[in-house]
Amino acid sequence: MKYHIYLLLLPLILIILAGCRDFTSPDRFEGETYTVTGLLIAGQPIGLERPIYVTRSTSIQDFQLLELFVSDAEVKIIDLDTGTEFQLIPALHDFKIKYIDPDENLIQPEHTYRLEVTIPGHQKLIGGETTVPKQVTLTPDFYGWNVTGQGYTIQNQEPYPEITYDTVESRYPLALETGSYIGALNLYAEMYCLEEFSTALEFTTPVFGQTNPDTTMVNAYYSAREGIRRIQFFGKYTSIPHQQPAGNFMMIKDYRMGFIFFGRYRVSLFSCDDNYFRYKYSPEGYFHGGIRNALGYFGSASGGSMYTRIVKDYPPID
Amino acid sequence: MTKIRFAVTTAALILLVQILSAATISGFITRAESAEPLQYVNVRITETRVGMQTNKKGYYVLNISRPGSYTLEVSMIGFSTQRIPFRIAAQEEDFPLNVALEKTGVELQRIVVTAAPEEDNIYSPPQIRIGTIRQNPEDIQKVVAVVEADVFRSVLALPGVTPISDFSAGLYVRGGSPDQNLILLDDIDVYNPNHFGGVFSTFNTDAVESVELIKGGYPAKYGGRLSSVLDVTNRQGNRNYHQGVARLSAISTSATLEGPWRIGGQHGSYMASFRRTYLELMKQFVDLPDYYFYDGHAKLNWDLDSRNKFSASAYFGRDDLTFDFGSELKLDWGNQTFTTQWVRLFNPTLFAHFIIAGSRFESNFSVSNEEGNNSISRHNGIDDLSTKGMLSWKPNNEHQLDFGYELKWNQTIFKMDTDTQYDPNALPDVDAKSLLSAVYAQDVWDINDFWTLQPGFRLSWYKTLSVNLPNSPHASYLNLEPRVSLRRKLDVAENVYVNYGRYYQYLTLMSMEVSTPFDIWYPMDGSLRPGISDHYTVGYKNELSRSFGFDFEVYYKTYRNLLQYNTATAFTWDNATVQLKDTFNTGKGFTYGADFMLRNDWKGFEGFIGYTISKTQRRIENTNIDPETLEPRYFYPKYDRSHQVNIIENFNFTENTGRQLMGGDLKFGLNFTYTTGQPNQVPERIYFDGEDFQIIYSYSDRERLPDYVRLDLSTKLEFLYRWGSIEPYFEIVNVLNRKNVSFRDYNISPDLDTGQLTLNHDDGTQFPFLPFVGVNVKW
Repeated sequence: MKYHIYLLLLPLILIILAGCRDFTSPDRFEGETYTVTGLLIAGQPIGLERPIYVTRSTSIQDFQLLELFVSDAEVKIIDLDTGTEFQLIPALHDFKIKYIDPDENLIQPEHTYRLEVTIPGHQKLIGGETTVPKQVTLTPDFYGWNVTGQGYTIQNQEPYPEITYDTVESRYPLALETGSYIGALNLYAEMYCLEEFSTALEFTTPVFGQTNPDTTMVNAYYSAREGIRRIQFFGKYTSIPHQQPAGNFMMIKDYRMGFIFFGRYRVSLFSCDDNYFRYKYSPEGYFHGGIRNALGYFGSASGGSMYTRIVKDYPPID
Repeated sequence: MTKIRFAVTTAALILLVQILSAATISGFITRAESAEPLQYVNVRITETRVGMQTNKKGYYVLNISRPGSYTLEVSMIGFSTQRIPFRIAAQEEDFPLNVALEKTGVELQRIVVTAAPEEDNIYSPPQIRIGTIRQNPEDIQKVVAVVEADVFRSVLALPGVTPISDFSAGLYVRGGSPDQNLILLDDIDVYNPNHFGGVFSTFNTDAVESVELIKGGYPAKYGGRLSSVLDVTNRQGNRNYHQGVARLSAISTSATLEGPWRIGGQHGSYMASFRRTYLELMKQFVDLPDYYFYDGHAKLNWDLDSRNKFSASAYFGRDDLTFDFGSELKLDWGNQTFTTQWVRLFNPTLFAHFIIAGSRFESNFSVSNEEGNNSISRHNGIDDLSTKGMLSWKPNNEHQLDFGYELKWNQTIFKMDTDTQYDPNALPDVDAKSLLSAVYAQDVWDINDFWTLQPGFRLSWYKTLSVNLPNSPHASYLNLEPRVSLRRKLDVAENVYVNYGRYYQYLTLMSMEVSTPFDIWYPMDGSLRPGISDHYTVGYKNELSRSFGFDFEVYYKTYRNLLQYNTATAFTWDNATVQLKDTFNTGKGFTYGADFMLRNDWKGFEGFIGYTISKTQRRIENTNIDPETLEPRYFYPKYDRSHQVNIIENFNFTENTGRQLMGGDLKFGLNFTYTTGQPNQVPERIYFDGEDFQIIYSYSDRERLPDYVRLDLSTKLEFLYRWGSIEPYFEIVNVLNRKNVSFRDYNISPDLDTGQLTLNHDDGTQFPFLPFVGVNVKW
């Protein structure tokens, strides 16, 4: 009996040992992987600043920058509210192929747009739809301080005005004027440091006693994802009426932790559609950005960017 | 028909008369030095060869069929065996006999309770214990741990239990996640036993009497979780004299006091333990976040008479962390429990244990801006009020019937708030009350000298009493959970067993793959189905010799209705319309594998070598999507470890060589852990998103991170004095200084001049080479 049981146990162990193999999954993608990304901005055309990108990738090891961008795609935008079609054309700019609207049609808030992309050799029609959020307006100086050399500017050029880190939230809240709209919107805010990496950069808040980054942080700084250079906020915020200044505003007063370093910053604030919000918010957002038959996103937003220099103290007045 | 009825009635009466007419010998087994009850002591009548093990309260009862002279043999490893003659004069006599066992030596405890394979002092316990490993405080103290001995770290060193990180005490048992473990302290649930960073466990080792881990196939008296049971019992305290232990390390101090009490004719014992960290003192030298924790255990016992014992125990703990990163981040969390127990002997064969208990876990999280306004705050809490009755009836030596009930009322709160213009409807505000009731029964039937059958069931009914979300449907689930085990004895100390059990879970924990104190307990409404797991186990145990024991278990577990937090919840949440199913992705999974354990007590070396081979996979909706079908694909979760080797060895140099160092007793300890690296995703494709080049990732388990290897060593020097002892110790964690990788993040750096791409990765590290000193003082 005892030996019969041994004989029964042995195969069980062997089955387990044999079954515990292939401890990793196979490759996820085969052949060419297409990605389309595009963010329409209310009141702006599809231009070099905000074009449509079409990329083709077969491997990460054999990456060639110029081969990444698809130059022979047919990219079409249709305004479903008016039936207007924009045929986009490829343009080489800044080492990238960008699809832009040569007619510079302005994207209309609250309109729904369809994207259709046909790529030679790719059998499937790539597409997506987005409804542009209501028009909102970036308000750089909400309290109307109007102090020369202080605050934000919407012009991306030197010299930037300055704001001290300690007063940035209380004096210069991030604000979007939403016109007549009162209610929830998808907010996307980004603080992007315009300085190049250097160990001379200084943390706004020392990290475990460390006041400057060391060289090991260079990758983290230039990482394409959200990192110490680019801090992003997402959330459903509401626009509510304000008395002074009068109007309906969505406002953020707690955002200074987005400034990791002292220096020049681009601060962007958008009300965005669900596609872009999901793309930004979700893990592996390229599956959730509203693109059919490819990866990426086709979204839309309303808002804008502004610029400042975050400093410890204002320079003394002569 | 009438004849049949008559025959059945007659047979029943005969059986009943036999049961009622048997004599018994019964009592409590205690430690002689402290009069505390001893669990799982072997008790046997030499002449009839019937025996059992004491229960968790140290109680035993044996039936004797006819009057005569007998010998009661009481044995346990580390204690001197006692053989006590007694005489049964009458057929229905109940012979009470309490026994106090003396320790046999200086260093007596073993890593695992074992018995030598001699027929005259071994008895297979009546219960078939599947996947069960029991540890006492001495076992826990022997496992080298950072800072101090740790209940969870010692459990994490066992085969079948996966350590996911040096900085997490989460228990991943045989492919289960931490929320699938039923963690009990004095029979009440502890919902989130974590201190910050996983370095300290929630429970203070000095306050703990025993830790029992059941890795699967657990008996009918346990329920409500899918994976495992960790049953921790507080010490009762010394009933003979007052004593204490103090422990001092660089970042924490603990003290434990215990002793007897007597008021008038009444008497009992007490135990109280307190621990606190003082990391904030180091803040003067190193810029650290403000952090401390404290916790305490207390227990009061009242021995009313020989048939009634009462006890009340409590636990409390609190962590507090403040971190300034431009805004002020404040976190605090903690558990509180109380248990009142009544142990009642209705008669020698009917042992009862009634409990009224409560538990609370709460965590708070807040971020405030420079003006002190609340940017965001989060409160999560779960309250538990429970009553249980656990009865054990031993009508004869062939059967032991365990039965009982459990009523558990829970209130779960999850509320977020803000002073900002964040949309209030998008912030969860959940307040749910539920009732879980269960009855169970289980028989241990010794069919003959070779076979033991252990059939049982648990009937559970979960019902939501109220949920504040208007669109949330009520739940009412009634489920039968069969449990059955069968054991075949192959030799005196060798047996094989099989087990099947079904388990349901009605509460879940929202976590982000790795267990943290900020995970959120969540109730279940009618939109969610309870989790279901089936366990199949085949096991083998053999006490090979006086020095070695070997056992292994092969197991297979299935999981259905698994819940995984859906990260899109923050986007989709609307208090007016949400159902709780919107918060989760649901899925299924399986685990199979084998645990092997070789225990040794050989030439002064005490410990074990454990090996686990296993495979765990999950399939969760919206997770690990196949790009072609857009369907989810099976994946290895982060905590899957294909191979795991654990070696725990201790050597008492002084006891085994007779030599001392500077007049003190010298002891050495070694821990070695090897596990396969954790699954990880790798970059497979690249694209441009309008701002940067971005990575498209593989499946979440395309690669394995480097294997985890860690060797820890310790040495202790114990100086004995008349008043007690002083024991300085020196430990080195990660002697090999191996860079164990806890996570790997990839990033890309395109060179626009050359058009080339550089793929980089940053690795999260774990404990480096870390020496540590401390001192234990006992009096």
